[in-house]
Amino acid sequence: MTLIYQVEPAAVTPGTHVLAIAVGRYPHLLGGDPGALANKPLGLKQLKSPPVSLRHLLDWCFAPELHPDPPASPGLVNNQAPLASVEVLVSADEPFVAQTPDGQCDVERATRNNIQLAFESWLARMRTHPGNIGVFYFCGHGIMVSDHYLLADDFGASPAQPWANAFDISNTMRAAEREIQGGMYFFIDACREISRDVAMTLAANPSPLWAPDLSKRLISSSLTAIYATGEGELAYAPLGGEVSRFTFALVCALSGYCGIKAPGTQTWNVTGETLAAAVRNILNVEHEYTQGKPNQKQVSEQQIRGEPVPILTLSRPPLVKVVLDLDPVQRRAMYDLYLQSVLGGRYSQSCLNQAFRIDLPRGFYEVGALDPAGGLPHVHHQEEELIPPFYTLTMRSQP
Amino acid sequence: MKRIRVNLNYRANTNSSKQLNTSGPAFPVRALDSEGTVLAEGVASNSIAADLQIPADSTQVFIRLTWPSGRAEIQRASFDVDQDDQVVEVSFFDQGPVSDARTGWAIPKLNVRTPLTRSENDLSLDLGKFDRVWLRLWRFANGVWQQERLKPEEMYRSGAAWQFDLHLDASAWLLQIGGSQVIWRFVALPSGGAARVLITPSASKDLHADLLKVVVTGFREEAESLLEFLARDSVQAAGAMAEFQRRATHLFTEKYEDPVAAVAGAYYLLRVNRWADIPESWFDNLANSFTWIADPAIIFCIRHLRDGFESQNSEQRARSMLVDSLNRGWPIFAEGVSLLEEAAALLRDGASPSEKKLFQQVEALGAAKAWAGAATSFYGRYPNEPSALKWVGMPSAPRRHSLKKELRNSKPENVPLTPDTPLVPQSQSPSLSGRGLSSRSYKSGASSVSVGTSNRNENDEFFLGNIPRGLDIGP
Amino acid sequence: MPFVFIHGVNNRDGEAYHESEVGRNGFIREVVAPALGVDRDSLSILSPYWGQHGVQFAWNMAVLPNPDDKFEAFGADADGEAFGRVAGLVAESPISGDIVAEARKDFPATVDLLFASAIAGAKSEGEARDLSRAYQLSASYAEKHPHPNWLSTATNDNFLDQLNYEADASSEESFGGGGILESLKEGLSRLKGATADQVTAVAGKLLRKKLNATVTRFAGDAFVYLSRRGTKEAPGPIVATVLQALREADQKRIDKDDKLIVIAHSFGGEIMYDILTYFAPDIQVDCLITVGSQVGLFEEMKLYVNSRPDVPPNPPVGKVSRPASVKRWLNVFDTNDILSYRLEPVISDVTDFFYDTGYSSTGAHGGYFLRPSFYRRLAARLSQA
Repeated sequence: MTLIYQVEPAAVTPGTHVLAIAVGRYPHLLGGDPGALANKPLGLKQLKSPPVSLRHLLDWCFAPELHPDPPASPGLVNNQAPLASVEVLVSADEPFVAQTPDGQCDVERATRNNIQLAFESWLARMRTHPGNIGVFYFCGHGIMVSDHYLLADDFGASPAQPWANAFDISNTMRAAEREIQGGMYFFIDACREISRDVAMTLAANPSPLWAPDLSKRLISSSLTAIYATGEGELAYAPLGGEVSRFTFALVCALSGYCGIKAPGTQTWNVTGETLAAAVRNILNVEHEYTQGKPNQKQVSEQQIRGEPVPILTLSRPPLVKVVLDLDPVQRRAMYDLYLQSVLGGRYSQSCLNQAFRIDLPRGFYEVGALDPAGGLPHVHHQEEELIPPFYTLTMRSQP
Repeated sequence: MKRIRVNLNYRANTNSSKQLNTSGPAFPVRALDSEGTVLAEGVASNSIAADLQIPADSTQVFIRLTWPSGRAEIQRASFDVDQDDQVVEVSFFDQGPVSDARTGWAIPKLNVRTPLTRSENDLSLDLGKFDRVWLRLWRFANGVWQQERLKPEEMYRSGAAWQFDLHLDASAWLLQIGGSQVIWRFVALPSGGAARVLITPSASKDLHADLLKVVVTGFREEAESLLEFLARDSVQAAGAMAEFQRRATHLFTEKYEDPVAAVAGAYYLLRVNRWADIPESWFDNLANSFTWIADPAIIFCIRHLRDGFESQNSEQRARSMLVDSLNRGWPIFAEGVSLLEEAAALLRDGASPSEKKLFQQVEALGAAKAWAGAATSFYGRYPNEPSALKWVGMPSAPRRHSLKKELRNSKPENVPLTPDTPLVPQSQSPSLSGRGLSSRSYKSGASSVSVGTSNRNENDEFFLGNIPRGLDIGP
Repeated sequence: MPFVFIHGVNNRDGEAYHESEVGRNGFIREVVAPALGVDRDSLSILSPYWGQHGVQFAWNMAVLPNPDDKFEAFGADADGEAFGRVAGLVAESPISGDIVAEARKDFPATVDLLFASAIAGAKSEGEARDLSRAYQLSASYAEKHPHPNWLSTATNDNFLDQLNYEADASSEESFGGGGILESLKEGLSRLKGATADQVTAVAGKLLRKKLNATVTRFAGDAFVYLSRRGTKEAPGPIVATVLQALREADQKRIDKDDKLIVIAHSFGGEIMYDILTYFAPDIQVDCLITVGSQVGLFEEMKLYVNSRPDVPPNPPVGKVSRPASVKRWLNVFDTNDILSYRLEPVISDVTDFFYDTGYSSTGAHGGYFLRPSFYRRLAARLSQA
């Protein structure tokens, strides 16, 4: 089964349709099935992270239903296009069992053929209403020249057609823009172990999942594509089968840590632009705060086109992860570190020798450090705007 | 009705000593409530204030002005709760972040930590170590990239940057930069008039970032601001700059005055899928009236592709526009490179052998992209051969660039970038004459597809060290 | 921690197969240094070049019997040089272009040749180090598993992928960043290119010319050195060049790592011996490794400054004492290398180490430093002490 969740179709109303693919097990790559190694495996190995990452995404997606009390996160909430279907394919060492509001589901492998069928059925669902929103997620091996190519689980099966079981996601998106009126989000978490200059020599020519029909006009209202672009496996995920850095950042941003309220709207909306900026920001801060190695930095890129169509509509302001610190550290324990909202709330940490970490709603605050004993100078910054997902400030107490 | 007038008082501007008549910098401004809800948006420039209407029940409003770099400045405006009609004036100045009016124009386009924001007394950049960084100027004419002598009209060097002005005729132009530690890279220059180039050390902590940043302007502040936001996918900010299409359309209709500005408007319209609101003939005229710029041809090609081919004729039209654009040199703006990639990918099937060669060139360009804000930029040794392989060194002795392993594993702040040692010390390399069997090349990652040619003169290098420290200096 | 490499006759203009300095440095750091307990990252390697002060041939060796064999047959650029080195390797130990078939016959030797070919084209010390590390893992793997199961089904296209993967998987260390596979594929490509009959024929001819030229140049360098080596107060240019590097290296000793290691190839050994016994007996050398050198021969001929006809008084039983400033001395020779000599019969407290380069007489003298296995065996030998 690949369609693991579907809301009973009542009247045809807009909905959000998700297609999520994770490929960790590649039988024809190094470490795969004995005797089945591809003629040219390109040095690529098995991956532990993709099924873990996809599960993390699904958990977020179904959070309000699976963990309602209290909700771990708002989940995929969109009052204009609520969650309507979820289709999943996973290739992993162990059979993947998805947890859904309707119970558990076994999930099929992400072979090229299965991906093709799943994509076509996803597209068919997307056509049912012009206000539909599509979410496509892929996690696995990828190659980038100028376009992006993604590898299905049976990549390398055919020595005669080495690229038969990969697909061109860039042209797939261009095709989809001509088939679907709604908005689309593509999240491509592809592990790029092959550098661009080498990728150029491979003469890779995989086909898209749907061939762009150039006789058709571009009708999609909006397209957002966000890519993980760090090179090398270590940039992609911590060792040992954890959620990939990109997916972690994506889900974090989608869990109430981004959103903007435009004039005339009632909700805080997560659009492609705000989401892409949030993901970039989270990856950057995560790298700095975990003192990651420069050659393992994960960055993201995006393509944004059309009008902003929100993937999420939140009923309350998004949160900001605040990290307040003080320099020199010897004085840290002598200060109250605080944030005072212009709306009245005050949040503080009193005389502790550590950074002050707190999640607060976006907005405007006075940010400062006050010595309760009155001996040290008061440090304050007026009208600091806390913009999600992160606000970090190291204040300086001088002299 | 409650309104906020937002004024911009920026002393740093792009005027050269020749007193070019420009409107000065322009940036998007937003009025926000205490929670950060957007109440109104507009554009403020030195010459025209933004006029923002806000809800009648507003008492406290925050105005955020944003630069393309992402830096934002906040001011607060307070309103009397009992008064319905009120206008509050708010002004933004650049004296804080801009320490040198002559180079301040570039700051909004650079990393927020750029050394340009620091006063001369705080700088310890030792720009002298870049004296041997070389520059070359290239011009596209008759299907060939020709190296031209770099003769700046004005030059200026501060403690944080080198700057020079050029006058460029109506052709495609590229600036090439390289050095023993500076990866060889090209940056497109805005042509058809005056252009200013600023080079400054990068403030990025990323080891993969280029050592030197190159910022260019053609003194078209509004159009360039719009494109700088687009280049960073800040579509909302670009939209404010375009005042949700009105200004973009205006830029487009003024094409005969300034085709480069018209291109900016067209790019915005394509990005937000509002291209259909403009008659096709306007795109046609832009592409065919200004044949020295590649961008209009790309725009017209993409418009055809997005509109859908009604007939074989329209497909042929799109193909010929794409080929035509590639025969005009590279696009000036990075937005054009993305569209080139899109067009080449869509038209790859059914391409003739000569077209396929051109499309491979586009693929190489896409893989070799570098960052210079809104301007097209790519890595490579020759202007007609963008290359994902990176090169460093003096023009006569290029060598492959790679980060040393020990540097790759250490923290960025402590690490000087040093070049790889050459295979044999240069003074001792044997001079084998290469007779006999032909030499073989075993490049591994070659992206050296070459269409067209380039003619270069190895003695025409201009060094950053040629720009002396001090006041503006003419030739 | 300083290393000093003193070259011999090979590193000269017109020598088609001079070894790659970056390749050599990569192996010294990653393979040899750890065997001596030296930190591979902090060590510094100096390679003084004295060639310009050696013999000059007014007619460019036109008197050689085989004038038609041109050195510059493989191109003057870095790629041509790399290919030339590999062509020389292949000419000396002919293999077919089928790497899998060769690996099935002799897996460790194939790994050696493969990495020699890859490192022949290393363009930076970083790349050479990555390859050297990968070589260590691959060589250990090949020694432990001379007939792995995967080799029976491997193809020429996926052989390297599997070698890379299996060697990495079997070790606790990691190869680290990518790029190894591409360098290996480049190396393999060079090997395949070098196995063409035409190429090996040319390479063979060039190697024969090289042997003649090497011997000729060796004699010339010896004459020039002996006539112009100078005095302690006024050392000649060759001595001065090498001595400067040794002094610099001496100053680079640090508290934690204060060993000075010298590797001297061919005539470099003689220069070193004169320095240790006359020009600068104060310089302390923790380990001296002479490779393909003639130190013992020159003492037999009493050609050093401090050679005494009566020291020792009772040759061949008696020996000259090893210089006190040298704590340890390993002398590597190959019986196929007509320019290499033993040392033990002449100098006391030194160790001779026979290394079979696998080359015939034509290539042996320059072959040591091109082969990864040389460094590996040298490291093993040094570890035994």
